[in-house]
Amino acid sequence: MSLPADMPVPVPPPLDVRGLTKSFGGFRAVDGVSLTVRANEIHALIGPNGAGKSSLIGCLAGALRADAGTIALYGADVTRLPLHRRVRKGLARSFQITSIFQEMTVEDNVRSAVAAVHDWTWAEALMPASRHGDVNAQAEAILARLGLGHRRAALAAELSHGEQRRLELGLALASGGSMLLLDEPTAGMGVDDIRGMTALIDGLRQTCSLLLVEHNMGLVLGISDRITVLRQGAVIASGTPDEIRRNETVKAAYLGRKAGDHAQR
Amino acid sequence: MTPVVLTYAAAVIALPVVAPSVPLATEILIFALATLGCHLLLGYGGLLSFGQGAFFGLGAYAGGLYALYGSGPWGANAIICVLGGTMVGAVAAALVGLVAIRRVGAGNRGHGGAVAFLMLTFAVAQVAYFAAYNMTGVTGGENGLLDVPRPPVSLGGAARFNLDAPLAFYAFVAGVLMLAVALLDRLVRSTAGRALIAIRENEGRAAAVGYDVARFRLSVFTLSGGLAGCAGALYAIFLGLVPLSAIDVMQSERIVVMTVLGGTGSLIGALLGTASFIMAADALSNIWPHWPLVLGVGIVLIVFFARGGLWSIGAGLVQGLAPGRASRRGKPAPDGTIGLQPGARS
Amino acid sequence: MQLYMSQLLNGIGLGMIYFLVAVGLTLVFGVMRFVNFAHGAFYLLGAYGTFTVMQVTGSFVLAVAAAVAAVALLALVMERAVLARIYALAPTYHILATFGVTLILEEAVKLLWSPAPQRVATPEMLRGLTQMGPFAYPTYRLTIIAVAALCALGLWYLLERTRYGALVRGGAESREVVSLLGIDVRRLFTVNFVLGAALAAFAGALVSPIRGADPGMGTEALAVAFVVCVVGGLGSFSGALAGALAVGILQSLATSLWGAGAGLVAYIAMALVLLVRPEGLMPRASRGAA
Repeated sequence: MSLPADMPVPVPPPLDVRGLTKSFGGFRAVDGVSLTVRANEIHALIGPNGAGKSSLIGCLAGALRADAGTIALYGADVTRLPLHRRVRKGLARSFQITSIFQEMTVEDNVRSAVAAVHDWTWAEALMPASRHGDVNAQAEAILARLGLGHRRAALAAELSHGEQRRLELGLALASGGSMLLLDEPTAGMGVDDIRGMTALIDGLRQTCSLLLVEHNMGLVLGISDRITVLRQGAVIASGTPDEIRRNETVKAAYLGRKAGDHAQR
Repeated sequence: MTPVVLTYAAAVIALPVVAPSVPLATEILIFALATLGCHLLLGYGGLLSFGQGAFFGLGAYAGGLYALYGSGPWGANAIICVLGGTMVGAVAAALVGLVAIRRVGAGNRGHGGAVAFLMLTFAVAQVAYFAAYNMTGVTGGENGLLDVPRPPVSLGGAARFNLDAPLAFYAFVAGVLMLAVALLDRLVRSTAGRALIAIRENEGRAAAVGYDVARFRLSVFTLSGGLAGCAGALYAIFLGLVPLSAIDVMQSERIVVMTVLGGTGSLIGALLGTASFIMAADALSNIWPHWPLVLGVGIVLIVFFARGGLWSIGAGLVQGLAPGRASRRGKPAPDGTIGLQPGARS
Repeated sequence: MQLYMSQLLNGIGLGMIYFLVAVGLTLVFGVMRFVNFAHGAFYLLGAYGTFTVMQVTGSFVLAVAAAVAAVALLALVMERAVLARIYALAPTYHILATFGVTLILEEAVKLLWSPAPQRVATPEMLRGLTQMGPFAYPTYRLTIIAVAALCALGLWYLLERTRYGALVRGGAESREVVSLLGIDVRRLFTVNFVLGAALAAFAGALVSPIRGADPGMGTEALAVAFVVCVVGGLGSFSGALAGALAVGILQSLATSLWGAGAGLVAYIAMALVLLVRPEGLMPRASRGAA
């Protein structure tokens, strides 16, 4: 993906969002947001509670229909595509609140996700699941990457919180997408688990581009290439971690955070 | 042969002996087909349909009309009769699904979609009844479609098998049921079946990993309509008539009750539910005409205490006897379906 | 012209009855995310209750009041004994349990009265026709329209202008908000459920002099109410009103054009509406996680 600097061939960015707006009733949760995620970068999305981060992720993933604006994935307009079609174009997401197939085994969780983006013929789809070696091998590789190989036969519901969060991320990886939307992957995690998850996410930039919603500022400032700050649904700043750290508007937004938090609800 | 297919095979052989009569055993197998459709839809599609009676009834009228008026090389063949009923049921379900399943969008919070689906299918049951009641020229209205002959099985040429004897017809119905069970058993253990389980478990996530939830659901609904239609066609040539009650709302409700009674944990549940319902109905209706009162109480109690239905009660008993392996089977799935892990992760 | 005018009025009357049934269903679903399959049985019992009390006392007003009160009481018991145990379960179980209750109630009606239809006399003072300019129209049917309209107005006031209404609307938006306000959500549910049941019973009572009472009327009303709710937008008050009137008027006009198919026309029209607008005519503004 990386190109020599002196050869500006216009490669469309993995994700390019222009003027995205989403209202619920009279409330503008996302207000004219524009942002670009470049190839192989970790782009963090931060902002106080109720800033519209989850709504934005929902619009990008396709779970919510945006009222206005455009979403381009590798240059292709996906604004009107339903979410499962976006996944096939390389966009995958994880959820802030763990959303896995609780009553399935860890292995079947990942296999289902891998199988979802295959183009099956009817005959193949109706073959016993155990015969699809390629799906199973891909699932196995993802389990190894997550460090969940030894838990493959456990029911997802039986995993610890940290393991569930990893599986949550794994389901996003399983679709083979290269543009990942990660909604607070470390939500509710302990310190040790966070360290592991941070390393996992950091390693993803080798193959993927990431838009990362995160509250853990240490993590954000540590691994992000760029950061976009939302407040009341709108972008108030965007730049490198250093630039964001120095930005006065951001400081004000975060200093006023406690008060703002309550006013939002 | 999987345990599910084997169990069905054993039951099919035992039923004519166990049940009070061969016709009653035949009725059980016929309704088991319809119940399997509803079972699949609820257990794998996560959708409760109160409209299966409409597809059953349509299949019955289609089968009955074919048996009455079919002629020429395509006439008088039980196989075509059954296929015709299946097609009619499937097409009708697909058409209803096009409207009703659009409401079941992925990520629909608060299960609003599944609820709208239920409401619409219930309305469909009502519409089908109205239509059959009013179209007296085609359906015979309140009198029913009368004097439906029972066509023989014809495999082309001289190979014709008369189904007039109760046991011969039973064997034919058993053949159809076993075929359906073998196909469904294969389906639920396939990649597509696992996708369905994933959708039932967590439809929002299933969509987010790339499944076209609505399309899967439409397929399952079509299949369930086909099974109901198939059962309907068999019912028509079984009774020798199509009563208006074949398509009334009670018919839909009966299919739901048999499904829930059996539980959706395993395909075997459909057989359990159907057999126990029909035998109990047969026995109770002779004793007390108001036995649905008991049935109503029973359903409430099932929801209170035994949400996995008869299958999970049975499985629980077996597990209680076999020490070790404490498992989560028998716990109702958290997302609105009844029962256990289908396919039983074997 | 006279014919169409009276068909239109019939349609409005029918629509208002449908509204009274559907609004209870939609209220209960909107606030409690609960689908009450037994809702049609309340309508059924409203009609039978009116029939019996009317036979005993001869007073229609008293009969209606007694029937509505009895059904409200029954709903209270049912909410406490059955619903309270299953709120936490998935909607499929709500439907199944209330379906069980429906079977019990419908069979009880057949047992206590009879499976045969019963006639309810139109109250003495409301018999005959009312002249409205060039048109004459049955007085009792006009009364239904007026009374149901008053009911709708009262409901609108209750929902839009009172604390109870604010809670109901708040509860529909977010259950947490209501419990954060320190409101006993359980009590809100009970009140709401009983109100919905009473409205359905009232509809059954009002309609009984016109159509009589028979054991199948509950199922019939439930099917229509379901369609009205889905078409109007689940949980929406104005949607229920618009949907009910649309179904009622369509059905009534269709009767004069194509008698046998009248029952079908409304359903077909609704299917078309849903094809064009899957979310219903007036969906509630949905709130995602902000």
